[in-house]
Amino acid sequence: MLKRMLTGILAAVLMVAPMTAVTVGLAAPVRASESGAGDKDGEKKLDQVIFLDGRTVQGEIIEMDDSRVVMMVHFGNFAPVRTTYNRAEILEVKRDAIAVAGAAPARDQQTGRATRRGQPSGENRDVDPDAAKLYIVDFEGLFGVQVSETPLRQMFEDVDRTFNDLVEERLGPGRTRMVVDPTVRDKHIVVIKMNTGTDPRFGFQGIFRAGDLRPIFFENMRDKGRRVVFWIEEARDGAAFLPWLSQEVYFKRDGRMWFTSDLEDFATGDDMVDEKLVAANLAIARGYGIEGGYGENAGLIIDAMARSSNWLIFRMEGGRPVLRNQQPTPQMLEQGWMILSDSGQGEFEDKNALREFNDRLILDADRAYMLNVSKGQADSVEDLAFELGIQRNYAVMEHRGTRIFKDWADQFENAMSQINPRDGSIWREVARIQVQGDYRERTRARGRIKNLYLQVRSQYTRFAEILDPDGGTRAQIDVLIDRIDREQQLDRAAQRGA
Amino acid sequence: MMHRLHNMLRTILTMAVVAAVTLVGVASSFAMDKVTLKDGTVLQGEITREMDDGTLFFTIVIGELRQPRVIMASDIASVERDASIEERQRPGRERRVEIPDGATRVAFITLEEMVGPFFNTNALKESVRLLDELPENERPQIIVLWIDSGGGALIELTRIAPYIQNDLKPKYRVVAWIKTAISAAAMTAWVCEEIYMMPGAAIGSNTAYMSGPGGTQAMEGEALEQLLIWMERVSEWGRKHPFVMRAMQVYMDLSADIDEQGRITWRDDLRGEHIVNTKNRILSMDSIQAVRFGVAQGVAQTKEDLAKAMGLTEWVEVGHAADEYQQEFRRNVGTAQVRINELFARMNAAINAAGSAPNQREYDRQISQALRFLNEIRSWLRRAPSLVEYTGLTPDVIREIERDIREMTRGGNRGGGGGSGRPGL
Repeated sequence: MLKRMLTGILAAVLMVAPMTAVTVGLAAPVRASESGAGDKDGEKKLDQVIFLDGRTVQGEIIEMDDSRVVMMVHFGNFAPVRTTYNRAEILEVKRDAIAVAGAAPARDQQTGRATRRGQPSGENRDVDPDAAKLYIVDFEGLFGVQVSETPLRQMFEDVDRTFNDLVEERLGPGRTRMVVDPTVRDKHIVVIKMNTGTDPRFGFQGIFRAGDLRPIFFENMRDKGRRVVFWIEEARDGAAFLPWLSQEVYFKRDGRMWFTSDLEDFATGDDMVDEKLVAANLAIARGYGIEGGYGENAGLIIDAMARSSNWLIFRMEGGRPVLRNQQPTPQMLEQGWMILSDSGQGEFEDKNALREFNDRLILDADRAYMLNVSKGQADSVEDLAFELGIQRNYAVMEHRGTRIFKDWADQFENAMSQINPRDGSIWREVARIQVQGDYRERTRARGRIKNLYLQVRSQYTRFAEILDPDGGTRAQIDVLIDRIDREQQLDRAAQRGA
Repeated sequence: MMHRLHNMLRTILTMAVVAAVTLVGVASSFAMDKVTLKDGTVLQGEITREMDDGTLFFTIVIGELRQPRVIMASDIASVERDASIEERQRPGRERRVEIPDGATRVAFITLEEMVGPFFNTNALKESVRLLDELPENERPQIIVLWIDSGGGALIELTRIAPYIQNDLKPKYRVVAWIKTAISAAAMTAWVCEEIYMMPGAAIGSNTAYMSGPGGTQAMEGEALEQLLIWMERVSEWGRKHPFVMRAMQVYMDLSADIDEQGRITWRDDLRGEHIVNTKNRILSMDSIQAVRFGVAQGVAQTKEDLAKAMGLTEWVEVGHAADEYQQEFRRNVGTAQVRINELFARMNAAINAAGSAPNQREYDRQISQALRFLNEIRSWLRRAPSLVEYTGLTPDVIREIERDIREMTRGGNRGGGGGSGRPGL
């Protein structure tokens, strides 16, 4: 009976799916979640527990009191495990924080060969299998902070879950790795909408944050074969490097890629040392473009973007942009060479705010297209689909990517409101505590201070990739804790003496 | 009570771990260490690191999930090591490698971070010693030095370049494979006759400079002259035209003509067909430039690409222990830098606290803690020996500090309740 019912439901779903696909293909694209019935099948919400040391677990909380949290912890595709945690080790408990689809086997038990992992979320189940699938995620806020290693890795994990398209690739005897199924590689597209930049105070030096995130893109794009498209609204400083890693860059009509600072402004106090550092930075920066397959032109373009004294001129020859880093002669201008950036010196210095600045090259949508950095312009998802050549049949996938970044950003902001050395709530609390009174009161006060220091430390651990990559700040906090312990030891000794 | 609760929680967690492992079936191909705690808990996973005092850095392994944990020596009842893990973790023990007949044996050694403390001659010597000690049929024929460094101490360069030239090159075909080689790192790579670049690589910017309270200043005068001459010799060792290195060190015009056979003629003016550098710039090359102007032989993104570029048809990677040693070495130096600073601060705090101690006993206790911190510093310096030179914390200096602290014990304030009796208020 049950089996017949299930068969009936399955048949109904199968009928709905192709009809949805036709709609998606011929009319305006719809979100996958809007198509078909039973979208919410299997969906449930999991609770999330965040520990003082930065770890997180998710699952269903069964019991919770002041001393402990008992929960069925979910580890990937494993059966949930009942686990008890000490409340004192927990920073935060979030109820219903994570929406997930019902669990599914990681392997095809019948054929034994399918090795796809995860399961598309409930909202995406009815997407036409022939449709191109877009996972569109927003990179917003400060690049390197709101967009940093942890959420970026989580996002790519979510991409794998959403597309459910990983297969095993044999590398050699006994060695395998998971890669995107080559048969769907072209159709499963991650679109990163960039409206972000590193902290403008550091200008071009955002390249170091880009360098931290670069391996994650490499791992997913090169090693795993994930197709990634960058869609630029604003890619500033450190964020202006990563799009070069993909051959598929599109701009919004008013989009731009640029650096807020001029490498010319390096000022160590010695000209030659400045030049050394500028040259090193530029060579490393050019590497992004070369690595992404943009060839020699990438070097000339990045040089002109980063350094105001560099000339960059271009003209089209045989349908291709030809670039030179020299001041054009009048004859060259007559021959069709155009100035993209000048030396910024003397008569060429940008002074008039009303005219277009060109001491340093800013890649706007037109220039990026002209120079073959961008493949086209798109202001909407429909435009982008058209540019990608998938407009006839595509679906925009439901996913957690944007949520992952938002949660991370919120948690970081919350942490900073507590631990910011200038006015963080924890530091204000520390300042309020007076170690005074009798021995017991003093002991209690020190205990509270120590506990607050531990809370600060745990936040630094959690956001170490942004705040304390080498552990130096945490070591300083350990010294503060040590000082408190030492004061307490002395006080206790004095107490005993008394 | 708290202790019991803690043990209970730990047992529950372990049961959960065991349950999960049972449910999924242990990933059987995985090697496991087993740590039994004094409360009876058994943890399975990998020992990733072991401290001198017996503290373990342990990764609990459940299927594909890994959860790191530090286990204090005082909590451990017994440890069963999986031999394969142990082999992998201990430098010096070579992993078994199938070596097909006729395959070229290649070892990769990564040289990263700051030249001097991290990218260090003695550490390289130790890696090479591990390779030298391999049986002949497992010993590499080629050593690839994979370089990713923004430069560092010039003094280290004067050791590492001659070592590569005089000790390594006679024994092995030595190849530099560059991710980033700036300044002293580029000058180190220069000694290699074969250089390959990763596509996004950079090499150059070799201007020597000094930084101090008076600011930053490029090296000049006699010292610069000597360095320029010395790098001419290194260029000779690496079979490269000295003008290229010079343009990476000081301002100079540099141009080149390339004939139809690809032969390059260098000029120290701008009359060549290709302008490579002008006398108001310092030269640093990307991968395209490095190959075009003969500094590098090719571009390789992966080991496979590199082998192909080196002309190897069949090859096998050997000598993993040599690089594992480098990785461990760098980890130790990185941790030691942070820990030593922290320990000095704690040591000073203990000495200060001794000064405020209300009685002799507390005074002695604080002094003994200060000595313990000093010993920990000593222990970190043993694990990161390059820091002895680069921090100036030689055994003599440490002994002197120890002597000063012990002097305090003998002649210091024995208090007897001196001060307010409420220290730290």
